[in-house]
Amino acid sequence: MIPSVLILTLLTVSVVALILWVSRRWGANDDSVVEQIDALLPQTQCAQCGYPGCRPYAEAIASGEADINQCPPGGQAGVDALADLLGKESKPLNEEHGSHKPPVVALIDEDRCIGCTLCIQACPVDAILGAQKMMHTVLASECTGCELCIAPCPVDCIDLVPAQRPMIHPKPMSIDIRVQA
Amino acid sequence: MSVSVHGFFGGMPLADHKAMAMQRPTQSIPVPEALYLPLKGHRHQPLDLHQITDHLAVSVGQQLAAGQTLTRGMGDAHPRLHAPVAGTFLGIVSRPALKDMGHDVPCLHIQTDRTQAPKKLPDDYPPNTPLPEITPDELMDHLQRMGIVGLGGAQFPTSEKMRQASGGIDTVILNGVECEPYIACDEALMRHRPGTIVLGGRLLAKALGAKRLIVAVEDPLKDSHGSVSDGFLACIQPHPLDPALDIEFIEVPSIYPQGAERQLIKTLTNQEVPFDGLPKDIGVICLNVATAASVADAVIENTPLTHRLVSITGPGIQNPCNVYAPIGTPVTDLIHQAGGFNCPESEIDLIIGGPVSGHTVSDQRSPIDKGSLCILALTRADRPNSVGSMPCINCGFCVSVCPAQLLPQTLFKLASQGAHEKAHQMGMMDCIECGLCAEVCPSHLPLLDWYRHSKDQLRALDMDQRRQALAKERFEARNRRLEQRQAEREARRQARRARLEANSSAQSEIEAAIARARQKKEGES
Amino acid sequence: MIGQRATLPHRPARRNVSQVMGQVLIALLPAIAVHAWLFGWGIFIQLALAIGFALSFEAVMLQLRQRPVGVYLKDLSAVVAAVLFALSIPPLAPWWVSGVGMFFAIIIAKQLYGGIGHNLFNPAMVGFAAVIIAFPLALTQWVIPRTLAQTVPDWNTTWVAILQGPQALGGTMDAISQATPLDQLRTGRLDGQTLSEIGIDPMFGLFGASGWEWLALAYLIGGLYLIGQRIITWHVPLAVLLGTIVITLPGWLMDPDLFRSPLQQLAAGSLVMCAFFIATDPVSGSSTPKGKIIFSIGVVVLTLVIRAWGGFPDGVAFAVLLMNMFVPLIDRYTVPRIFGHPKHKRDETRSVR
Ligand code: SF4
Ligand code: SF4
Ligand code: SF4
Repeated sequence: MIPSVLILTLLTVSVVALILWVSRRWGANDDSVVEQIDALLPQTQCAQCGYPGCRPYAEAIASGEADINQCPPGGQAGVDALADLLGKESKPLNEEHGSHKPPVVALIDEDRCIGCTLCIQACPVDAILGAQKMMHTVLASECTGCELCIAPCPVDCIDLVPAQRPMIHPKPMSIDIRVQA
Repeated sequence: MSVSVHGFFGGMPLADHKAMAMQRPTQSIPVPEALYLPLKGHRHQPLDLHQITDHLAVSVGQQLAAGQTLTRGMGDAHPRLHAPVAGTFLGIVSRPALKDMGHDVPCLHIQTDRTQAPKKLPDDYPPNTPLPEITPDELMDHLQRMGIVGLGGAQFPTSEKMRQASGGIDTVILNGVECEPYIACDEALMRHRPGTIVLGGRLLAKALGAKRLIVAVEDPLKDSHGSVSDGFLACIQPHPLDPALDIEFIEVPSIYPQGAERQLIKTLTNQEVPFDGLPKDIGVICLNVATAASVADAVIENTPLTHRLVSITGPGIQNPCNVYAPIGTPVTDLIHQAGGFNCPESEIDLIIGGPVSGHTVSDQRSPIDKGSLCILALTRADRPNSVGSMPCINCGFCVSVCPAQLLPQTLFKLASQGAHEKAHQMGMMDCIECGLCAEVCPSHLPLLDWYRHSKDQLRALDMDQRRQALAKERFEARNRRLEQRQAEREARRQARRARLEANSSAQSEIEAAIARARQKKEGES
Repeated sequence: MIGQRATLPHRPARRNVSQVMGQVLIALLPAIAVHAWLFGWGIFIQLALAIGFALSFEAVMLQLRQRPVGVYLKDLSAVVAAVLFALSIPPLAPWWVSGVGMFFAIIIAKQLYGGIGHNLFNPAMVGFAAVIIAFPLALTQWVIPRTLAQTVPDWNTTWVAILQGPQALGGTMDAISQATPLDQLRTGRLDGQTLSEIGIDPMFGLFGASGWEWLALAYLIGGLYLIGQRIITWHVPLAVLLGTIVITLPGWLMDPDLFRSPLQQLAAGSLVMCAFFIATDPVSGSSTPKGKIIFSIGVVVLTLVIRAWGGFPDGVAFAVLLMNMFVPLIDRYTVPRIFGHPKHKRDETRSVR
């Protein structure tokens, strides 16, 4: 009787220990966690989260310094994905950092641009092309719509326009026929 | 050597209704008041207005001659466009897209000169027309200049297709199998211009170094004028200029979707094109018969691709027929040519393409493009009594007809739950959108509509992911550059300070020396 | 209307669920006719009872689940389940057998799982399994087939037996009923008799079950009609029939005293019905062609095991229900090769292009 109880207890304890150890091991590698978090962030590089780009924010999340709900471009879906990855409860997007908006791209009004290069310095992904005293232009395919170039422009010639999205065939009607209550 | 006809998995015979459009001779349409040449060749790549303006070859207000180049072409997605008729270029305007309901497409707006005579379907070339001397590279460049694209619907530039396939092509297949019921534009072409089609095929075969040319048509294409094969049989004797070319004419059973490229290749060669490859991987290239004819026209007559045959048909059309129409003609003009509708518009469903896999046309102002085969008007009576759909009963009818050998019911369940990634793993992207599964589904589930939705979602997801990767790369590159610059600046500053310090120490040494000298002097005196 | 999106295909009315189910019912007509000829009026009353119960339960549940009653009653799936159930129970079974059976089939197995298309288990077999557990005795008293008794119970006897239960008939019941051949085989074997000793009884007829072979033939005819109409594919029937023969033949050839003949396995009991009408139930069966074959072989093996060693004379119902549980697993591992893909799946990252 007593030996069997002992063996059972031992077995349970060792299995629990094994499970805990494996789950620790899983999440132990810091570098890969940052990578995995970074992979879920939208890479808009807009700094709305309070960090100078997605990767710094990813590092901050990994070190426990930042919360998971600070990235507006990622939206609620992004928060949910992060919560899923980190095994945490999901939470609503923190509106203090901004709200989720449909994707946009910057467009420079080329007639008004004075060629000051300030926007070039602001752009986190080098999506603006231009030189001193020359007209500047935004590479729409490279622009992430981070809005960082809007504020520095001294003549307010940069606008945000809706990004071209691929067309999506609409969902067909709902299939569940219900009695209208 | 003769080719035996194999089959492909799945598929189903459908009543063809081709005779409806074939009962009248092919017509030309009076030059429409305005043409709108759609610029969107590829719906999955959003168009950049900058790109368009950069590639325009004409300026607003410019007078155009028939056949004048309008755009210089922007890669695969946007092949060259030419003015179908003489007129004035009025700029770029938005028109409702033919296939994507509720979306607009940028179009080149041409005000036509209505007094000119409409272009007729050109006559057939006699079978013994000599092949012009042209090198493969010249031919591909020429086809690109002439804006030749696949006319079976995909609109992929033919020159590009040839370039991808060059080397290792053994067989050229000319696809004369019209997939869907009602569509008869290729049949009309095959009856009128078999010689041109074969000539185009020979040109392509020669340029690609192919040894075989196969013309494939459906077996029951017979009417009071005989079978289509009669016309072809007259022009398939080996030509003196390419005696080595083996030309064959093959009738394949009309089992929908026999006209789909991969299914046709399977039928003719009993080989499957690898899912991640091209027909050239098994030594085959497959082109639509209309494409072959336009290749011949481009080479022999030097005419760019500006017109195409469109079937205007269906029970809702007064006089169904095939129309030879300029690209950019609004649908209204085409329907007008076919005598209009024979019942009130509220009873009509307008479809671009065939009834099984076509798209709803939402607006009759939409212009046709190079890939428009058929405008189909169905009446109330042809619509399923829409009680809605029942749940899937897993009957497996869809599994047994799916030519891609998928499990349509599983794909449907995943797609309707929004599990697009999982659907992708089950082969969603391998669906050829034939629509047969929805055709046989006893629960009347809108299966194909779900797949189109899911595929578009997957493409959008893919695009987002690639954009994200790009942004990440550029962000990191920029950070590296800034760091490097910072480091360089730091290094320079260090160097300067070191120099300065060195300078100042030198200075003090000099001063010290001077002081010593002075002391010495003072001591001496 | 122009400008209004319509879903594909743009085609005139096509075959719908009611028509599919209707064709299954048509395919069951020969079996119903043979059943009536063999066992008398009972089947008609049983059909009426089962269909009546099924439709009322279905209507109530649909109402409760806020689904359109008319649309879903018309799909006839409940009727098919009811007919299959009625054909499985003894023709003189009392009315509450139908009531309980249909309660489990329609309410528990079908509607509580989400209605048509969502049930994990075959409703008719759930119903049958429920009654065979609840009323084991009533379910073994089969009417002696016409091929043996030269007559069948008259309308009056049938009516009384079903409405008031077999006790109401007293001794008559024993006179007109006997165990099924499968049951007889089982009890015989338990008594230690060999198969040839048991087999002398006239009830085993020429092929192993007098009268029953005609029923099997009727199912075969109806099933072939379904295959012809492309309602079912060949996979399940062929796998069940061939599977039975292949599995039972070696044993019978070695020792016919110990092992039943393949023909008897098919003719007595409901394997042929199962091959064409039960294991082919689409909803609770496998989706993939290969999966259908595996499912069917599983059903055959389990049925034969239950017949040989189980506590019930026939095992089709339990075999089907057990295999229903494995369907998700089977489906997962039998995904067919997609057109243009290599035979053996390599680890590939699929591109979206
Ligand atoms: S808020 Fe902007 S910078 Fe921060 S993680 Fe989100 S996209 Fe990246
Ligand atoms: S045909 Fe329709 S009901 Fe049948 S399995 Fe396919 S999707 Fe389901
Ligand atoms: S539409 Fe796609 S899933 Fe449906 S039958 Fe055709 S290829 Fe198969």
